[in-house]
Amino acid sequence: MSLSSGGRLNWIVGAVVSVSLLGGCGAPDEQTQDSTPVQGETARDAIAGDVKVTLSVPRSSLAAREAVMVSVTLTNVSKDTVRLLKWHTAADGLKEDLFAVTVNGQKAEYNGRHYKWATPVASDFLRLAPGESVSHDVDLGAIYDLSVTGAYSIRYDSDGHHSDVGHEGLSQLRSDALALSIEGRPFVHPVADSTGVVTAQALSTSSCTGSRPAATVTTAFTTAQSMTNGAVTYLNGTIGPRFSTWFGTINTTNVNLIKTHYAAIKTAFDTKSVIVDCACSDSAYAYVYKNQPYRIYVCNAFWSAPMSGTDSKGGTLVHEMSHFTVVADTDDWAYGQSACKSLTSSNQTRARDNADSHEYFAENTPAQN
Amino acid sequence: MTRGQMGRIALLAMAVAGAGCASKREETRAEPQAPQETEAAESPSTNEASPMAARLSCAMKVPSRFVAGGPVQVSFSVTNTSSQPLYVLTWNTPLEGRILNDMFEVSRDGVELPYQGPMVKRAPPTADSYVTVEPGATVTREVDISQAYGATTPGAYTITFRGALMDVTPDKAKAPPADGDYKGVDVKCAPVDTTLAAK
Repeated sequence: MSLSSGGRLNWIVGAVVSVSLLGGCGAPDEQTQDSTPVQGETARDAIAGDVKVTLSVPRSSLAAREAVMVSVTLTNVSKDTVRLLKWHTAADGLKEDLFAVTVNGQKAEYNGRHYKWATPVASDFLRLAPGESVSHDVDLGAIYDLSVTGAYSIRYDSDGHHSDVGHEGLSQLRSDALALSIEGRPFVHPVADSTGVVTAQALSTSSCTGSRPAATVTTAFTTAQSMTNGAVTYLNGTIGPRFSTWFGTINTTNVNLIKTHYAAIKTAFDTKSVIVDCACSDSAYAYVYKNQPYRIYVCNAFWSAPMSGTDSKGGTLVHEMSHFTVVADTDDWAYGQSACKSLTSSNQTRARDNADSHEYFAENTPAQN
Repeated sequence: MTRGQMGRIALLAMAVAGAGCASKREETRAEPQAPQETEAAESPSTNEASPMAARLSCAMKVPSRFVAGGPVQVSFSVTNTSSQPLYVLTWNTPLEGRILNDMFEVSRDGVELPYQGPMVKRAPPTADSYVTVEPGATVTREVDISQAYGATTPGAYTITFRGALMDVTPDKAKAPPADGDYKGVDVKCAPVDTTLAAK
């Protein structure tokens, strides 16, 4: 990499940072192993290693009066024609939080738009022939808060955007960091995001419209609350097979641990500002970032799940809520009822740390005492 | 070759599998900017006692040095030390080629770093969710841990795979199992160390 120090960069005109792709170091391997890219009619979906991303700026030191125009160049370095979702590029302007921008080590806020994306159609893809490059210019100052003067680091990272999980490699465009010295300039907020719908409880939704209605999320939320209340009530009564099926040995230590978990889950559902984000179109049920409470991203399997019962909408929200570090800090050691039951014989500590186990205990289907 | 011979050479294969495979890959892979790999960083594994675990060994490998702020590519391999193909669910392992779960323990200068990536509740797996590991073969995949674990600042890093393979089966028809009865296996790979240096 050509960057040796930020200071030196100030004097380089046309500083260019070439790029690496997430998971792309083993690019030649990717083709021969388990991951078979989805075949399009004439172009396959790009996977890590196919497309090189290069960022460049005309000058690396910018006064407040100068726009921070970053040129994003995508180059197909594979042997095939590949396609990329335009949403993950700047092809039609920047419509997602596709850059990781920091100033003096602190994240600069993204103030741009978050879109709800429907199932992509052909025109939503950008096609690149082998060796072909496209460039788009992005006015970074219009979408990121560049009000602080200092050393900025700018990296293209389409995977940093939340709705990208599971786009099967489409989202894995990433560049290395570009160092810039920027004089702070006032940030003008764009039109406020209107997709948030605040409802009675401390529940907000984001991008929940159309076939992913906010009303369904609200019902799932109240169902999750009801399941959680049921779990709390049970744990204060007679403990029996319902506990041991999912969490193993019944003793004071174990029961108290699980009580603590559900008390925290209940507190979060009842008192915290929970945001359910419906933008994800992955095949998964849902996901969260453990250290970003209380935002829950629901995906395709969530929408086809029943409202209550095993692997339901309500239970999925319990599962996700249990993950947050400040809630129960659970992990995913096993998925599905059968594997979760097996955990109680193979590794009980994991059972009591397993998010699906918490979901199934709360769903209690079929019902046990 | 008889089964007995296969069995006797299995141990030998285990001992050399990591190094042999790794060097082979190095020859075939053009990575112009890859930092120099060191054999010392390589860590063949020992297996736990379960019968299925005894059929798989794992190894991790990292270059000895990265530049802080860039990708931190960790190579992960599983080797089939048995005499029949094994089907391994790639979920929540580096074999999936991306990080959707807290699969590593990563520490910087002895302090564990919190996982910052997504925790995903998956829909049931399909046959495509599995990788086939032929007898004696090794499957290797790399993942970049820099973002998921905040491995972005200079320091001495230790990376440990938490060890869980969510499903391993010798029966292709059970990859995935129709009844959801996954057979989880723990593998133990020795941790690897690397240094992130300032730019």
